[in-house]
Amino acid sequence: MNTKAVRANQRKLVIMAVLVLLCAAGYMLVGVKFGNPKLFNYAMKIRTPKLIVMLITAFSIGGASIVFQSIINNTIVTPCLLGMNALYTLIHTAVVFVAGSGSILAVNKNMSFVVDLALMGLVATVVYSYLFKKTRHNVLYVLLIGTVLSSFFSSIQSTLTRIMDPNEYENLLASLVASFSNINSEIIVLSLFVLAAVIFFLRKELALLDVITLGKDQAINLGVDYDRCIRRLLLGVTLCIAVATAMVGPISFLGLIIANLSRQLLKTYRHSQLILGSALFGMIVLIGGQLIVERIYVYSVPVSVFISVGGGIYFLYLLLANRRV
Amino acid sequence: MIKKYGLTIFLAVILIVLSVWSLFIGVLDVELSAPVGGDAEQIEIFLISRLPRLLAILCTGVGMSVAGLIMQQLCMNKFVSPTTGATISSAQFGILLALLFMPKSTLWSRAIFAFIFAILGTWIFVWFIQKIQFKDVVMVPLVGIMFGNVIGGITNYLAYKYEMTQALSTWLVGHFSMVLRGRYEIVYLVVPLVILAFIFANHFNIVGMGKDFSKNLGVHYNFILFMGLTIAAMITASVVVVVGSISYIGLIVPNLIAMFKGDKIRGTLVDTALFGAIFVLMCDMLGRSVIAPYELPIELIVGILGSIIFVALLIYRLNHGRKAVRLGGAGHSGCAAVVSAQEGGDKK
Repeated sequence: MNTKAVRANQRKLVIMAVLVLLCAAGYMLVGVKFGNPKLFNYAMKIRTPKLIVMLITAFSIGGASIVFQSIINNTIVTPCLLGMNALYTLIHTAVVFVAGSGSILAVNKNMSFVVDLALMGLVATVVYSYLFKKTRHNVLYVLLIGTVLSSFFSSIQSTLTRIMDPNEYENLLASLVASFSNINSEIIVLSLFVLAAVIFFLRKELALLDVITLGKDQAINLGVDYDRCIRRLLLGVTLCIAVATAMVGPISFLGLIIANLSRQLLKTYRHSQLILGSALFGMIVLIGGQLIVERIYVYSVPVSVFISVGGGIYFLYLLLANRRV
Repeated sequence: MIKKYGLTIFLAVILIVLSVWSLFIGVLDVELSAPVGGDAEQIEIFLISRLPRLLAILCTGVGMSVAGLIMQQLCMNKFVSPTTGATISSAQFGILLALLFMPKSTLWSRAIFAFIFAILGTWIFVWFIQKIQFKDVVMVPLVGIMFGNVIGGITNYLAYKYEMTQALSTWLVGHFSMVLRGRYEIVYLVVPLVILAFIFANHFNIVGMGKDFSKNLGVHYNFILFMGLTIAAMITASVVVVVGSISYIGLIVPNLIAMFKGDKIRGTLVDTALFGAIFVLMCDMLGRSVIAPYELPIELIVGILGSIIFVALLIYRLNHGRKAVRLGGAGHSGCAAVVSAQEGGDKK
C-alpha cells in the first residue's frame, strides 16, 4: 500500500469523524429549549449518558467485529451472529437467577457486571474455540452452528426467567436485559475501564493482526505465536461484546453492517484504519438511527428493529455475492 | 415382517403409553378410575382440557415432522424444514396482517391469512434456492434462517408501529396451555393433509430425484413440487395458528428416522409421524412437570433439546461426510437408489 492510498483513507476517516460529530450534535441539540436553562440542563442530563453509551457500544462492536473477522479469516462472520450476545444475556440471567433477585449481585450493577465479564471470558473462549476446532474452521458450518447456538442460549435464558418466582419475574424483566429504550448507564465508567484494559493488554496482538490475516502458516513463518495470539484476541472480542450487550442489549447485525461497510469503503488491510472506520460507521448508524427513531418515529419503533431488518437483507446479499466461500 | 415393522410397532406402543400417562399430568388431580365411572367434574376436565391438549400435541408432532420430511425430500436437502425454510415466520406475518386489517377476525380468518402467507413464503424461498444452485448444502438452511429473520423483523416492525407486540407474542412462542375445547379444532386439518402426503409419497420421492429424472418417469415436476410445498406449508400454518411457532421438530425428527430407515417416504412417513408425536409429547410433559403447578412453553424445551440435537447432527455430518446420513438397517435397494440420486443432487 502506497502513501497516497493511506492519505486518501485518512481523509475518508476525517470526513466520517465530522459526520459523527454532526450526528452527535444533532442528537444532543434537536428539540432542546435553549431559553430555559432548567429544561436545557434536564435534556442534557438525559441525553449525555445515552450518547456516551452509544459511542462505547459502536466502538466495542465495531472493533470486535473486525478483529473477529480477521481471526477466522472471513468477512461474513461476526461474533454477534454466532450468538455471543445471547450468551452474555444468558450468563447475566443465570448469575441473577443463582444469586437470587435480592442479593447484592442483582442490585449492584457494577458487581454483577464484573462477575458476568469473568464468566463470559471463560465460557465464550472455551465454547468458541471448541467450535472452531470441531468444524475445522469451515465457515458455513461455524455460521450455521453459531446461529443455532444463539437460539439455544436464548431458549435457556427465557426458560430461566420463567422458572423464577412469577412475582419477581415482571419486575426483573425490565432491568434484566438492556435495550435501546432502557439503556444501562450505571456501568459506563467500568466499561470504559474494561475497554482501555483490553486495548492495553492486547496492544501487541492488535499490531500483529495485519500479519495474522496472511494465514496461519505465513504468520507462524514470520515468527508469530499464532495459537496464543488468537486465544488472547478471542478473549478481547468476547469482553468487548459483553460490554456492548450489557449496555444496550443484543443487536445482532450491527457488527456485520459496520465492519463490511468499513472494509468496502477503506479497501485496505491495515487494521488500525479498519477498526477506526468500523467504529466510526457504528457511531453514525447508531446515533443517526436513534435521532431518526426519536424525532421521526417518535420512539414508536426501536432502532434495533431497523438494524435487524437492514442487516438481514445485507447479510443475504453478502452471502450470495461471495458464494465461492 | 417383524424386522420390517419392528420400529413402527415399538414407537406406536411408546406413544400410546405416553399419551395415557400425559392425561394424568396437570394441576388438578384426576383419579385413574375417573374416565370410566368417576364423577362428572373429572370427566369435564378430561373433555375440556386434557383430551384436547393431547390431541393438539399429537397433531402438532405428526404435522410438523411430516411437513419437514416433505420439504427435505422436495428440496433435496436434509437441512430444510418449516423453521429453516421461512414457513413459520411467513405464517406469523400473515397472522399479524389479519390482526391489523381485521381486528375482529375469528380464528378461521386468521388461519386463512396464515395459510396464504405460509404458502407464498415457502414458494418464494424454494424458487429462490432453485434459482441459485448452492455448492454447499449448509448454505440453504443458512439463507432460509436469514430469510426468516428478515420476515420476522418486518413483522416486529409492524407490530411495534401499531402496538401489537403483546397480541403477537402468543404466536411467537409456541405453547399448549391455551388449548381448550372450541379453540383448537383447526389443528385437525393436519390429519387429511398428512393422508394426502401419504398418497403422494412416491411422487415426492421421484421429484426429489431431480427435474430431468422425474420428467423421464412421467411425473409433472413443477406441479408435484409446488403441491408438496403447499401441503407442508398448510400443515405448518394450521399448527402455528393454534399453538404458535415450534421450531426444529420438522428438522431433526425426519433426520433421526432417516438414519435408521432410509429415505423412501412411504417407508418412513409413519415412523416419522409417530416419532414426531412422541418427541412433542415428551417435551410437553417435561414442560408441564418442571415448575408445576406452572408450566413452561414447549417452544423453550424444544429450542433447548432441538438445538443440541441439530448441532450434533451437523458435526456428525461434517466428520463423516455424506454417506453418514444413513447408519444402516435400511437395506432396501429402492432406498439406496434414492439416496444416491439425492447425493448427486447435493453435489450440483
